[in-house]
Amino acid sequence: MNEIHMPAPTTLEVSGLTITGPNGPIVADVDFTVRPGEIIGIVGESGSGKSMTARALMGILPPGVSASGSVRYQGRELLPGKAGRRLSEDFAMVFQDPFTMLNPLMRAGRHVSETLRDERGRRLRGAAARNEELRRLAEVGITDASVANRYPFELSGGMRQRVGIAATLSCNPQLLIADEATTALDVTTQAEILDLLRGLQAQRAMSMVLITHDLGVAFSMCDRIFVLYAGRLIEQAPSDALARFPLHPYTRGLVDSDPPAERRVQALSSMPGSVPRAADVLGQCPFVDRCVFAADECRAPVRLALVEPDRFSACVRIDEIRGQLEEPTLVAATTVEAVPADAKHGEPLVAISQVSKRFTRAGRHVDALRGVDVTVYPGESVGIVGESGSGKTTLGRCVVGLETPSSGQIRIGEVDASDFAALPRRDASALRGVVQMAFQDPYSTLSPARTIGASLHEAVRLDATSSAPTVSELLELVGLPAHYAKRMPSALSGGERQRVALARSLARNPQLIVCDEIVSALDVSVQAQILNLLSRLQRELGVGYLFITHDLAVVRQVTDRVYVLRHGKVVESGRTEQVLDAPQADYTKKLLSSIPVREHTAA
Amino acid sequence: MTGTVTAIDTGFLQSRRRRRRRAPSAVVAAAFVIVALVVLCAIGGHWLAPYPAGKQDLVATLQGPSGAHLLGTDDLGRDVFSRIIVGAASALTGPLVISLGAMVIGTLLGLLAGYRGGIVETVIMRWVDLMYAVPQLLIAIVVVGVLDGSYWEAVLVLVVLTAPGDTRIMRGATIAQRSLPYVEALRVLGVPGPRILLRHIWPTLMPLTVAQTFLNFATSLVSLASLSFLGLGVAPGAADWGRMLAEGRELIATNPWTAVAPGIAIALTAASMNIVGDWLHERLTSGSNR
Repeated sequence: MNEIHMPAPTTLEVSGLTITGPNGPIVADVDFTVRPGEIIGIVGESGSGKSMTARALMGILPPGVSASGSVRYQGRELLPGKAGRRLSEDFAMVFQDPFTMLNPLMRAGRHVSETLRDERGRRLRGAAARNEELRRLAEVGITDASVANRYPFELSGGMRQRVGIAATLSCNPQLLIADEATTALDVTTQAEILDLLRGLQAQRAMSMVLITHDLGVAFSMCDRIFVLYAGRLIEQAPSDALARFPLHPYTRGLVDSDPPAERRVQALSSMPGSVPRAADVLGQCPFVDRCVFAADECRAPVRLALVEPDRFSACVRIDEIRGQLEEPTLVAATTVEAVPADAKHGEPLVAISQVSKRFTRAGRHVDALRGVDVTVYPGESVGIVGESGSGKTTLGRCVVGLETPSSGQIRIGEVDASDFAALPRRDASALRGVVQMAFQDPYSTLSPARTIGASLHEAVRLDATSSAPTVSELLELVGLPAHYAKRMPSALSGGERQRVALARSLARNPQLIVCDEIVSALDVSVQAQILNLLSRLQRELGVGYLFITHDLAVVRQVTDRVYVLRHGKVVESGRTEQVLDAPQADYTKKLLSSIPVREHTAA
Repeated sequence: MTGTVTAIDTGFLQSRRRRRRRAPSAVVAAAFVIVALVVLCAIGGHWLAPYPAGKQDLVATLQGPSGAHLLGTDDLGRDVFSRIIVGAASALTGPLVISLGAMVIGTLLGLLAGYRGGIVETVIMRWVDLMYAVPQLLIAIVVVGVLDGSYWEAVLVLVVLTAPGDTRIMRGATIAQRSLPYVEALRVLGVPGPRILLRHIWPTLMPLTVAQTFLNFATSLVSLASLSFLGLGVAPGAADWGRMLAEGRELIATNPWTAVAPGIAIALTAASMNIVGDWLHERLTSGSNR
């Protein structure tokens, strides 16, 4: 039989891969194949086990974690085997963090030539090594020969990732695994690196396994996509088909929670809860507790099954619910107009005029802000968009007094708030009740040794007036049950922590919350929940936001006006939809064109 | 996202750490036993000792170890074993006062210097530099020698000399904490500075303080013993380990235990204190680290 229906030759064939850690399975029974010259995507949120899968393939599982099942590479069985040894020549992996994956004491070129050998198996030296380094760096788009002599800390993030890729390619792999290779990069750099990977893949006719949480990246790069959820594969499909209509409720939810960059929606469809631990959902559909279609049969073990030519889904009810899955009502992605900005009249709440900030360290100056003007009216949501190094975070910190501008003025209401330290205590305290801040990483802003309730109470007691909300009111406001007050921050998921952080900033009834990248560390489904929460709070409490982000799709969903920052200067500003639909500045156009496109229209 | 690998890793490491925490090693257990014994002797030494510490028996001088005298007797016929037990009191109280005093002073000054910065920091830290620049034990010898040389004078001088070390450590740690997000979040919230310092930063630095205090205890135990070895701080004839060591020096040929026993007592107590302090530090930090 097999001889007759000979399937396409496979480069990598993984079957029944199970990865077990000290607390039970992390990945259970995963099968996938990679054909020569193909790019597959493994997509999943945090906790789905996608990075562990990559590590298992590379033989670099952490101690105490073991893999079983079968991994066949060009017909050779790789499991079980000695860690790391067997793969050196045929597969390679690009890691996530370009800032830590290079040896800080080695020049960029050495990273590339380190593993190169001549035909007699000797290490390359001198001019030969140098020429090879330059040739290989040129292959990844680094034509400046001096880069080879620089140390990693002298290179930008994108440059480092290029060097990392060149080093990875030095063993001439036929299969490249990229684990979140562009996640830590700016959107324009990400677009460049993705282009580079695509080009290299075509040139070298490599296969590629792209591991990512970003559906946009996966849709734009991959031929086939495998969706991983709580350690199990729940859907497999060619990427254009998956983008058009997912055949699993989770994938549907994932696609819908991803905010569209091209329009604003009333509310993002969001899935309740968060990803469970793989060990907890072994004998059932892993998604059952969050699924609107859950039924009794979902509590039994499920398997990936062929539902359409070339498409597999692990949903047992897929034939019954298919009609509903395809129905656009579930999408809830009705386009809405932003609140007309003209409606916000009167005195500005925050007026930032000609603010500059210069950091001086060891005699070197860095101008984070160079004459920025931003105005925020009461109840308005204003976006500050920019890449890393644009000064957007510094601007936010200046507004709440964590930094003092070098020059220029910040007025909050009637008060000159340029220098918080110089203000009388009473004024400073009053300003704290007007402007609050929510930080990117809610975990590090909550004292780890205090309960949620204690942290919130700390904030509540600062407001001497009787109008101060109670701890349970605050929790209710952000959609958390009151008994969460007794929990420790470590017992909460990322989204819940961000809710707590928001609750704390609401304790003083502020008129404006500076939100510094508050959703960028969250999974898309959780991000959708938080964005919906922000919209609801704005409607119910009339609170405004200064929303700092690098994500244009996010800024579209929650802001009325937007300022685009680059190198500490405002390059463009205006109504959000105007700026994003008809950008004037070249930089804005470049930012917009760098967003990975999904080749589909959902509704 | 980044969560996958790291989340599992930390969970794993934590469970491993917890396992280790449950069963302290034999060395740590022994250190705890020794510390407990020393504390017991310091509190109830007078009742526990078989003979009063000062009781002379001129008939039975310089005897070797026997059933009646476990560690023999010294040149005045005093029981060495009893004197070691009673000596625990002066060996413990002085260092306890020194390390606690240094902790309080060092913590307050260090937190203040680290959090406020500016002129406050400059004044405090220059004082610290000055104290570091002088040879500590020498200063102690001179000061205690010039004054009437009592035990509590020696203790006081050592408090002043030990506090700068604590101050410097606490200042460094406070500076590191000051720029952490949770402190910034509290500042934005409008929590007053002193409250942030005492209710948030200080508890976080607690493990460091504990470890440093135990370390100081061991160091000042040795310093005090050195002073009394030189005849400073403790009246001649008193049951004190450093004093006994000095007096036993000349008797080492006849009953070596007169010198060896107090020496071992000092070394064991100091080492045990260090081990206990280290263990506590590890335990406290692994608990609060996420």
